[in-house]
Amino acid sequence: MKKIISIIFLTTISFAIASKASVLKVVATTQDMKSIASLIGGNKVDVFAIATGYQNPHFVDPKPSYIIKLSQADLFITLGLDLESGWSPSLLVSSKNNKIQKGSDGYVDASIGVSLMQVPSSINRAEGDIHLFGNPHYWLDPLNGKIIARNICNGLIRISPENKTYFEANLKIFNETIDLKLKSWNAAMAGFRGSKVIAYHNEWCYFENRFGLKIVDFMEPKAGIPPTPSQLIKIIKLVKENNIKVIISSPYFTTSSSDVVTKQTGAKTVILATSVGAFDTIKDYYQLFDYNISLLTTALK
Amino acid sequence: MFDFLELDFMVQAFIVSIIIGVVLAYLGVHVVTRGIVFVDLALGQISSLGVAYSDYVGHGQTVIPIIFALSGAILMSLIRITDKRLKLEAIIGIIYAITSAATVMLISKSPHGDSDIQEVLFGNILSITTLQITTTAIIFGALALLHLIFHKKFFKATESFSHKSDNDSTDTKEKMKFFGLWNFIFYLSIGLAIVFSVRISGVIPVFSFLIIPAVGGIMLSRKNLGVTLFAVLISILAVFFGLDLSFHYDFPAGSSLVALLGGIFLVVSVIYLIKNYLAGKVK
Repeated sequence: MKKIISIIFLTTISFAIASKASVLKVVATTQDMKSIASLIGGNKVDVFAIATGYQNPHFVDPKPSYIIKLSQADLFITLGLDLESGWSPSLLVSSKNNKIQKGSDGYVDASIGVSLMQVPSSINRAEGDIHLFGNPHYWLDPLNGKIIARNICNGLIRISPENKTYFEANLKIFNETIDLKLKSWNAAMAGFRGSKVIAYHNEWCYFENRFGLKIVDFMEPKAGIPPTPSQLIKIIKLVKENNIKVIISSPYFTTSSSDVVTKQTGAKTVILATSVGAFDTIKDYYQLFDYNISLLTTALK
Repeated sequence: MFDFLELDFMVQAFIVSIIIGVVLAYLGVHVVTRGIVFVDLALGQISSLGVAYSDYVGHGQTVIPIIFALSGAILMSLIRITDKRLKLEAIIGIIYAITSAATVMLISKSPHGDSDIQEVLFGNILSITTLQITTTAIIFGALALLHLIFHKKFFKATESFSHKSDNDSTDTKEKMKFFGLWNFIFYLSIGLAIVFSVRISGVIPVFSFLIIPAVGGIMLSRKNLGVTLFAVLISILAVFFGLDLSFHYDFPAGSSLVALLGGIFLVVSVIYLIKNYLAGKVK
């Protein structure tokens, strides 16, 4: 009996050692975090993302597999802020995995160090700011992607210090690729800087800021409230007055109300990708911007 | 088949679903017999209105929705319909529509409204806390105990609704002492059960657990005890196989439970039809 126990014990230990040497299991809340984590972690990581790319990250219906993945994870990457607050914290608690709880080495808040936009002051809070910590759609600026990558890299080094040089090298490649790509994206957008557009939901401020768009107003009168008749009238008037050509929407919003504006004014509705995987062609974080920039420049012509 | 119960979060989901499922199945027998199946949606909506209101005024996010729902339940218990052409169901429908509209209007004026209401309407069985389980166990345990002790009174009150067209219905009401009081306690229990279960599993699963087992039970038995036992049995089977389905095929838990209830309902309907067909032949 003792022999059996010691054999079991030894195998468990050797398994534990073996699994430590093998790939790190990473769970990210969104596809964008997954893409960046895969680029930094390379062949040392196996990344799973909870939300799909075409899903509104505000609302994710939890499935058993999410909790199972989390319970086995070595690293957890969250967007932070309150975009996923409806589901991610409770899933994390249910996983009962101490390695990845808030404050542990395996917990990465990707938003750390990002200068957030639209942070509400206590005075204007009642004026329709849904997000207490600021606008959470910060990954839509490729330069914030570099901050996310840094945070993820730090997390990977914390749980796997032996691979530090490997992760740092990948981070360097990522940063250089972003810088290089940003030049071409900026070049493509050069002729359209200052273009006025309408957005469906207030989720493009980082993108707008980086690529020099000017969002005049939103189809939603208040974030999360579908367009009201008076809002539609206001938008139609704005589009006509400013000769606005494009209304930006996302895959998870219906285009029925922007269609009304399109019919009345001739402005085009462009469905931009908010995440990697929003459309089949967008396979990684770079292609997210490739796709959006090419779609936008075609529509603005 | 039992392997999903090896995981902590599935065990928690199982426990809380059994507690809710059994109590709702029992209460559902009353709800269906009284012909007030939309009472659940209406009370759920009133508690959403409570959320919208607490967001609007800026405080009381936990207490106000409960107070709203309980006041709604109390108001419903006071409705007396004497005109035979009118049904209580219609009034409940009106309450649902008006509170829905009021909720939309309030949300449009308050910042966090939308996401807070989502939280109330779509619970999540897979990530509940131990505290939630304890609260649910206490509240639902108390309700179950109350109804177990006074089951005769509650069934008598309910039966006065089932033969509404008969002339003796008014007699039953008159005969029953303190009908108003028992009716009031019944609505209060429904209100409590719905407010707390909707927060855990969401509106649609709660509606299904309230209505489907009860309808199945009524199809399978004529006696109150039989109906209740069958309803509870259907509920337990649905919880077990629903969570099993959710676990093995990786579906969201709430909808899996509803799907299983639907499946069981189909089977029961077939049994019911065959039984009626055979009974007809014998005659």
